[in-house]
Amino acid sequence: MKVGFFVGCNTAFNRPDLEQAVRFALPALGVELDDLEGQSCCPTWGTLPSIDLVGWCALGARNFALAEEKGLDMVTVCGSCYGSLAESKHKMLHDPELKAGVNAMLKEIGREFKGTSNIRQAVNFLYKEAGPEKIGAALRYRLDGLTVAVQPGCHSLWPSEVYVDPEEDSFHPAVLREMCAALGASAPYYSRLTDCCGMGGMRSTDMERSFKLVLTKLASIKEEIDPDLIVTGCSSCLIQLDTAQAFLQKDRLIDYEIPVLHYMQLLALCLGADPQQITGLAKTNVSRVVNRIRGDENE
Amino acid sequence: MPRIGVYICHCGENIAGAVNIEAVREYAGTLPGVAVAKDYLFMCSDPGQELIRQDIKDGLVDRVVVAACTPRTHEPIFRKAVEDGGLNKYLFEMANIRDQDSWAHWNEKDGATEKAKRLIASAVAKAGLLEPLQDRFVEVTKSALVIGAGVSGMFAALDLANMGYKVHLVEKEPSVGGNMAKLDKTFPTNDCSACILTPVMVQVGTHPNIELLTYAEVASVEGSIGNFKVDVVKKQTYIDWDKCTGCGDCVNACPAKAPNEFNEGMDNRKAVYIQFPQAVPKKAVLDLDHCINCGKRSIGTQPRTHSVTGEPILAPCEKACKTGACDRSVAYDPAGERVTLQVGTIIAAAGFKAMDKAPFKEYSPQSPNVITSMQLERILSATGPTEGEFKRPSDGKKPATVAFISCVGSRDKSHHSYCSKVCCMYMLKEARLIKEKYPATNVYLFYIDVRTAGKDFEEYYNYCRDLGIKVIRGRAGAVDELAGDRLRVRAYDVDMCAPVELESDLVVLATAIEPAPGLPEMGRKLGINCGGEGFLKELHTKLYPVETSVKGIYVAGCAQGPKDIPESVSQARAASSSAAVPLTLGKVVVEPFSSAVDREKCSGCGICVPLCPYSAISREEVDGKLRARIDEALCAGCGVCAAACPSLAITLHGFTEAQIQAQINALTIGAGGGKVV
Repeated sequence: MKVGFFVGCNTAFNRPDLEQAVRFALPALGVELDDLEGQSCCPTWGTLPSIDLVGWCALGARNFALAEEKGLDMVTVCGSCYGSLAESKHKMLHDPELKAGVNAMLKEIGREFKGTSNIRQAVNFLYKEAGPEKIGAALRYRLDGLTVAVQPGCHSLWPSEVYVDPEEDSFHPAVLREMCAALGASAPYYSRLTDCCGMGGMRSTDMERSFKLVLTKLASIKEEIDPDLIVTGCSSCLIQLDTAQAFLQKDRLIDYEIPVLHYMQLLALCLGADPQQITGLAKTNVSRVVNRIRGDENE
Repeated sequence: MPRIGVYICHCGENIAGAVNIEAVREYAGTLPGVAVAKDYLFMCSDPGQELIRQDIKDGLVDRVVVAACTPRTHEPIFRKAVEDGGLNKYLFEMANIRDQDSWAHWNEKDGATEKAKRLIASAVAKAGLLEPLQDRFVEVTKSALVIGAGVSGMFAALDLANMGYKVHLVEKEPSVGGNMAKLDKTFPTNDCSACILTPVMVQVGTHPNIELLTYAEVASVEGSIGNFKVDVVKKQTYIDWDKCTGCGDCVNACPAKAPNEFNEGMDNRKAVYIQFPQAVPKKAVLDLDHCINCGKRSIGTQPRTHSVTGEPILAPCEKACKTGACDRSVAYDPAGERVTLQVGTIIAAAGFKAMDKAPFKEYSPQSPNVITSMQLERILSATGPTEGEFKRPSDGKKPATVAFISCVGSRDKSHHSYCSKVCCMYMLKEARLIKEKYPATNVYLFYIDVRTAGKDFEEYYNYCRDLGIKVIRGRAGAVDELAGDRLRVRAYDVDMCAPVELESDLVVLATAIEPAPGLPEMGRKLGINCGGEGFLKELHTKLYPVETSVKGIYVAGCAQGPKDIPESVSQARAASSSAAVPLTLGKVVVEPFSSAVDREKCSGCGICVPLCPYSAISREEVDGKLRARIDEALCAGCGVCAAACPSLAITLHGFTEAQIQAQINALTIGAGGGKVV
């Protein structure tokens, strides 16, 4: 199977280690990646989607057109890319006037949006296409005995009608939990599982509120399940949960640190990737949990 | 050559605001056959009608077209004016240039004017071909059918029965009582629901003029006002109700369990059961889906014989039964029994269903401590699963904190756009019952708007607030499960402009009232339209609130839309008075729009015979050849036969082939050529 890898700006520029993880894990499970040469910003929330509907959709449609020309679906690890692209496609398919306006713009660069390719979120994509069983069988290291807190990410849950691989019940998301269980980890429920991490527009406009959200979330995680690791399905959640803890510690709002990884990093790790390559930019200290997963092999 | 008078109504601004009346009047004057074209501010006013009467008396016109509003409300008025002027009242045609034109195209004045012209041209074309017709009268069967024996249906039935008419009361459950029987107390007076309902149920059960058909459903409805033929299926009870005394011995003996619908699934009933303690009729019903056929005694088989005693081996239920009502040897027909009723009028009072919690995933419906208001009614009721003790489902502990969430499924575009109207009051009532009985309980209500319009309702609301019930303005967005079976309600407090959270032991969802399952299907059987939300539609919201588009069929209670008990009873009693009118008159006018067969053209093919929904067509031999014959008394004028006849031998009076063709021609090719909206 071949898919276009929609990397997304956050992953490419802030967490290239996550990009490396994807480039290791998907091929290891038999998914060939196409770079979709020429891909641009999705564009993300707070930019064009807030001010220019046609411009937003046109930029998204151009990315879709790249994949359509190759007859591929796109896979991303970023919730914002996933949400923005899926929503813009949904809007264009349900509003012929909008689609025509977008295609008039694309015509100037010799492209056309048809709506034949899908944008898919890496975890849900793997859940459907590979399945927990096949993944479990391919592992070199397992997470047995490890407890993880999952953070699927808002944009992979809502609005569910725009996604090709939606959760059965977005209010009680199961995919990421099952996918962690496939690696051997225990991924229990906690009461603020679907809460926002506080990233997105808020982190750049109102730090205080953003940290209040992440603090509430972390408190629920710590008090209710006290995990070894937080696992996200979204690169923005990864960045927020990974970087915010140092600020919260400095302000004496927390006296603990929980390491944070994206699911694709954890999967790559279990499939035998080099930890430095795929987790090297983590701000939280992930080495202890990484060593525990790999045994003492690389110590 | 006919002399047609065209009268165009301004309807104040309603029509004149979108349609250029003068242009339309001028155009109407040029149409073939039009002798007079006039306009007036309100054609339905007395001076407006006088225009018509005078022109007829002066010999100026012998056909009348009124271009105005809807024939639904105004046709009878203008027909009367035409008759008073001295013409046959069917030499009249109406063009609806308000509902179908000015209102619909308010912002496209030119198009609306063009459309008015065509609609009038069409009516004029038909008017030229109108023929005088005579009204018919049919005798009325002096009995009525009431569908649904909730509080609405029971009052409708009682009123008609008290007037002296025979009433058949059909109820799908084993007992009468409906949803009201499940309630604990009723607002605004907090009287016990069972205390006020049980006497009504008993009256219904013992009234000599009421025939109760419980555990039964309407299968089909034929005929028209005055003479409906209704087939009712009495579902199989597998208990001989003539012998059953309602003692409950079989129920006590039965070992098989099933979810108890009457207690909203919160406990179990037996496979053989009596619906609830005050059931009327108090008879047992065997639910075969949950029966485990003790002693291999499946229905309709002979008992095996005990090898030692030689006694027949009976199931516990039949062994317990002292009257022989429970006898599993009887070969009961699973399809039940079909009975045919002849009635003059019908009242549909099929009630409602309170929504289940399952669709509301954001409120953690998987938690046993998230319940619906109807479930709380059963918990608070002395006949409920906790016998009136305030206990939460997960562990039977008394909740220290209770949170109510309003508008669950109502005023929500994902579910129902309408307001269910009773939730604010029933929530306040339930909160008050808890607070009064257990003052230490913390009671919170999350709401969008508190709507307590109604006699004594606002006072009730204020009293509840004074009791210390906390009312928080803000929609609840989520309920999370916490350790210890506790719950966290999350909402946005609009007054504080901040998100708020509340930990609670019990969450009560005030779920919406929605149409009872199968209501649209029943509507189809009756020929009544359902509105967008699936409730049965009244003929006119303001003026004909209990009539329907089918003459002789009336609506009452929540089948027509959400309403509280006082309103349901009022509407039921209004429906019974309306339904009694034809019964009292003894005969009803039938419009002469019936079909007739031209025997010269009829080939006797018989295609029309099975098509007639009213079984009005038969074939008879005329001069050695088969010919169709239409029974005018049965014909409802639907026109199916006329449309189907391959020889064009059937004419539907009032809607003849020539008349309809002329209308179509005028609509499509006759008009001025301007752009129609």
